[in-house]
Amino acid sequence: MTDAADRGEQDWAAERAEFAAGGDRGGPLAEQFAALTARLLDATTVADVLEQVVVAARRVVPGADLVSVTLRSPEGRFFTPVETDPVAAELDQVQYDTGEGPCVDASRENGPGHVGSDDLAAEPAWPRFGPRAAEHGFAAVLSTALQPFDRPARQGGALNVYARRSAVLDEQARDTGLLLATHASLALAGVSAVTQAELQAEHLRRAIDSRDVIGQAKGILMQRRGIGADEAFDLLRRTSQQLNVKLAELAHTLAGRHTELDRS
Amino acid sequence: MTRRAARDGAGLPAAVCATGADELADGAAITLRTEGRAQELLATSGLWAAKLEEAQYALGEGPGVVAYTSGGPVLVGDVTAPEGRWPMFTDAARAAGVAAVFAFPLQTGAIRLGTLDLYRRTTGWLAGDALADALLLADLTTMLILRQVLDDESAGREPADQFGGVYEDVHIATGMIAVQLRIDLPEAFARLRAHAFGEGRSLLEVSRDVVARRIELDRGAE
Repeated sequence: MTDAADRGEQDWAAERAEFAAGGDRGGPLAEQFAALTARLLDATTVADVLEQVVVAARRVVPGADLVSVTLRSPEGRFFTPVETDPVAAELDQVQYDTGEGPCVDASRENGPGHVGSDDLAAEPAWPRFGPRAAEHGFAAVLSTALQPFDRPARQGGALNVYARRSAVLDEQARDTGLLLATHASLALAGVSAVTQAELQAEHLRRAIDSRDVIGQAKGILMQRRGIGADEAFDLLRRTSQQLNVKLAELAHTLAGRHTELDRS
Repeated sequence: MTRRAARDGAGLPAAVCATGADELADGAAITLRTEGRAQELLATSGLWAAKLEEAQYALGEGPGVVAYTSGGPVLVGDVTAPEGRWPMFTDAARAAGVAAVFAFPLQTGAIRLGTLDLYRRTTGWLAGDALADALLLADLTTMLILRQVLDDESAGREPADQFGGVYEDVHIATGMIAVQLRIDLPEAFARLRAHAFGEGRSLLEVSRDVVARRIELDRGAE
């Protein structure tokens, strides 16, 4: 290692210590967070956000060897959408399968803010997951809860950090994990809100279009059958139920074909 | 505010229009638009603004139409200026006593919902502060509408159920005329519009007459 790199390493260690002590002087760690924030603001998809967060976590959480994210699907199923190493996904999966471990605990609705252990081989809370993780050479783990970001689906999730050496995931790692998880939750909420709003705008557009066509179909039926507007709508609704097609689709068909019907 | 406003949050767009009419202009309207002709009048400050929105709807031209398609505000300080971009709408505006129109797209990111249109009886631009307020009002309206749709969906309501359906008689009349004259729907709408224009009446009035079977359009007369 060169002197410069060595000095960088020392600065880095000092910065970590200061960060843990609540210092606010700008430095490597603060810069990392500033850079992460900038990248998260640019992220346009959930996958983007999560990728940025696990890479940053691997870099800034002291002692981190593997990082992954756990999310819950709207049906409540756990999955790992992103990880820094496939082994992390494997360790996550053991937890999903056995229903025990920090990923599962931290992802639960109203679960704890963070869950960890620095002696996985002998962790009494996780008799199945603990030894399996130890077999892979991991001594410590820390999962920090992600705030639910999907409205109204309410997904939970967790940021998971695995370490080979025990007792490296200390209070400082917890604080850093919490900061990262907060960043991630906010970024995910932003991305999710955009996706949600686009869907809503699309629904709104379709509803406006349908209004037109349903009105026109009513007019067509009124004229052809000599009935009133309410009767025409009842007829449309009954037919849509009988044929099991949506009212708007039926109206579209009727509106598109009415001249053909005349000719036949 | 309307009775609907007193009942729930659905009256917020009406409150936006009332604010726009009171503070920034003389009349205001919010219209939800699509790339096609389909649109929905969400709220107005009153009959005057509603008539002007209907004119833009019937004619398919005007500041609101351009604000939606271009995605930028359209500010017309003097609609009576001879170089007017919208000959038909300008006539309608003049007849209604409008001197200035300011149209703002309701959009956020890639999403565009419609426009907030402000109508004024006096010529001139929107002063700097008023322009900023109008832009803010448009942003607020966009958020209101998106939240309303979200709430509707969460409650299992169709978004369309919340609309007034102001132009429904136009749609019904279009369908009826299409059958009467054995023509397709776009042509039927064109006939309906031409008839209203020829008689110097509003599209909505003529449509109501057609729906009530008070008038029938002549085959090939227009």
